[in-house]
Amino acid sequence: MTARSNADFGRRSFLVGAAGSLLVGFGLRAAAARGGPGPLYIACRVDEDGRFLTTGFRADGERLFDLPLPGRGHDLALRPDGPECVVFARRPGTFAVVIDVDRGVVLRRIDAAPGRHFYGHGTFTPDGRHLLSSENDYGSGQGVVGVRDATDDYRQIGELPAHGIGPHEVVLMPDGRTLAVANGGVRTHPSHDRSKLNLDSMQPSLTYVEIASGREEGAVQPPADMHQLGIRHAAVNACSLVAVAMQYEGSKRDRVPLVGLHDGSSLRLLEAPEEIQRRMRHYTGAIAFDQSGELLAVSSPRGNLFTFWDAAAGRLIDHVTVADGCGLCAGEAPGAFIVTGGNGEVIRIEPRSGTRQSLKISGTHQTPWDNHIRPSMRLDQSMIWRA
Amino acid sequence: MLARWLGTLLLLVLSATPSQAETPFERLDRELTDRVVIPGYQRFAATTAALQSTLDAFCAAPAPASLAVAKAAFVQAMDAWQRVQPIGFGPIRTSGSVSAIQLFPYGRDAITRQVNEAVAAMDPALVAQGGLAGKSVALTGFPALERLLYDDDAMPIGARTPSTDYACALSLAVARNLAGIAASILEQWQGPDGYRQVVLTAGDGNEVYYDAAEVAGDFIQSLHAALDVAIAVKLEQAIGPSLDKARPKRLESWRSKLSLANMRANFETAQALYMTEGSFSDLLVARENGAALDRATRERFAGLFTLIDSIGGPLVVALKRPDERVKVEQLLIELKALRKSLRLEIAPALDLVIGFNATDGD
Repeated sequence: MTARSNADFGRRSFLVGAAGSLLVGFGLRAAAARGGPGPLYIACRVDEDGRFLTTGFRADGERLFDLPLPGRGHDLALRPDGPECVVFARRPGTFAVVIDVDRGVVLRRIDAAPGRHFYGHGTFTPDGRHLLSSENDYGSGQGVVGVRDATDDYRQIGELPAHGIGPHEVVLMPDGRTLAVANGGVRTHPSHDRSKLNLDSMQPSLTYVEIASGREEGAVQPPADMHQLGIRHAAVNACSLVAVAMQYEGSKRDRVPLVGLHDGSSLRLLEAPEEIQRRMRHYTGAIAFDQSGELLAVSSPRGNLFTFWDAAAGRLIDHVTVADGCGLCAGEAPGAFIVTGGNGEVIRIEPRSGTRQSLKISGTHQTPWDNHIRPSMRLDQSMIWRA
Repeated sequence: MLARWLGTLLLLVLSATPSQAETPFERLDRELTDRVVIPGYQRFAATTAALQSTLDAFCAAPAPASLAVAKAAFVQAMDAWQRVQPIGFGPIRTSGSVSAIQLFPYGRDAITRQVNEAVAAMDPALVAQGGLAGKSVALTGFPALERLLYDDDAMPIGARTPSTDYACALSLAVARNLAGIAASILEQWQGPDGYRQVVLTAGDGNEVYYDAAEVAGDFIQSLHAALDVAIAVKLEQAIGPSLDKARPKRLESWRSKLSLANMRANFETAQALYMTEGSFSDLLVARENGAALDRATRERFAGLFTLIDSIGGPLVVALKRPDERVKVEQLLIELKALRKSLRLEIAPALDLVIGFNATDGD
């Protein structure tokens, strides 16, 4: 399966695609500078009647679409070369839904292969051709990365090894050819609900996988005495600095760091002052860089807390309490983040200045946002005409 | 005299010390563990053990009369399970045995197909002691047993053949499996160093909890789950947008017609979690302006039971009858109102959060 998929991955197309997505980013910034509406934010949520939705909105409060999902969604992947976005089921779900964010419509449903379920995360190759998704081969317990051809109705064309158990978030490195995989290390099986089958022996890792070959190009693990520190979420900045957010499965009495930085050498672990560290409750739900790549946001939904960090200094710079707050992403400008909460909160935060601005998104009052949110860097079509 | 006085003093000190030291959340955690959780699992263990011995006798001499007795034992065990079903933390979670006890919802015909295949294969290892461990959860719990006991074609009573004997042996194996799981969960709660101890020592922080409020959070989350699962999984999947689009076979326990009884059992546990002395109701009343909210909540619970009891006939039929269906739709509305109040009014008033995003490993 792995070998068969290799031929489809030409490196040249990746480079072209990477340049293309950069241009879109610049275009968006230019649009924002002209006073445009800013990014389209997309996230899953549940409405008052308990329906699971994917919702698109802008910072001015306009809600552009509410698309129903077959079950609870989790994260989503934005296709860099078009208006498509793939919403993944929360694990151990087996569906993903492709939507058109410009028109706000569902295009198709993708199903996991037999014997596989999604872990809720995925990403595209820079040319927009291939969708890569973290999946569980639950018969063997090994993590895999599903490869689908977006230009061929998302037909599955291969599978890469995740080189670990329980892969969760997967992020594309700036080189366009390497995938960073957060292998949580926890083995689960759909027949055993969500229970963890290997807590004593878990071996989490952040693993780099060459997309073209599936080969492991390097990996880093938490220190040996913290092997129960599962690496679940990751983000990368333009300098290839990878930030990871972790969840600790050991005793609540232990004091462990939950945020790490990997620049290719060793894993640098960051700790907040004790009171804040304790409030993070051994649990993180999402991590993202801001647009500058200098600031990091981390959510701790069990502790109802967002923490903000200076990546270079490795230091906590701000924190905000939001009930059941989990979703976070870069805002429209460097230094800004958008975070979401369990009661419909959408807040724009600038950690350096301590600015907080509550955004009221129409029709989402007091209903919970799901774990993740992404900004679409596509230009508003009307902006292109005005330009 | 002095000795008596000292004795009285000692008694006072002994009886006063625990309650003085106990915080409201510590008390709530203890009361709910001892009055709801442990009695619930005790009954689950006892009724599944009784189910096993009933089926043991039934399979020795299958007859229509003893089938009725077996079904009665099934109903008792299911009722006991439904009463603990909302409790979503502790050994039931760490052991991951919910689906093994009761796979639900399940794919179309998954239970029928897998039970039929197992009976056709007649593998003796499957029905031997421990033979169901690790097997497909479509075979290990209540739905498989329900198929065997309630579908006439699954285990015909009368002509005894190797096939019907095997079907009976499989039903006994499922009952044995359920009894084994139930006994294990109970032991993991009340045994030495069991989860009861974990709950009772949470106040100072331990391996599992930071504090007593975190356990209270697990309890209110369980209360919420009782309502949430009933709405989203037990009712909405089956009720459909209109009468002609109702899908009664998506109901839980449609074969045994226990769908409504199951929910009633869930809600009685939810109500007990709320109203047990020292629990959320009492804490709410102690808060400023909490009394009115508590009164409304008690009335909402009472309204649920009145509404359920007014639904005529089993749910599998009621969904297709206009007069009864409106009551089920009303039940959904009432459940949603209570769920919303719990999340947005009751939990915040007690400084608790009913989390949507705080689930393990996402």
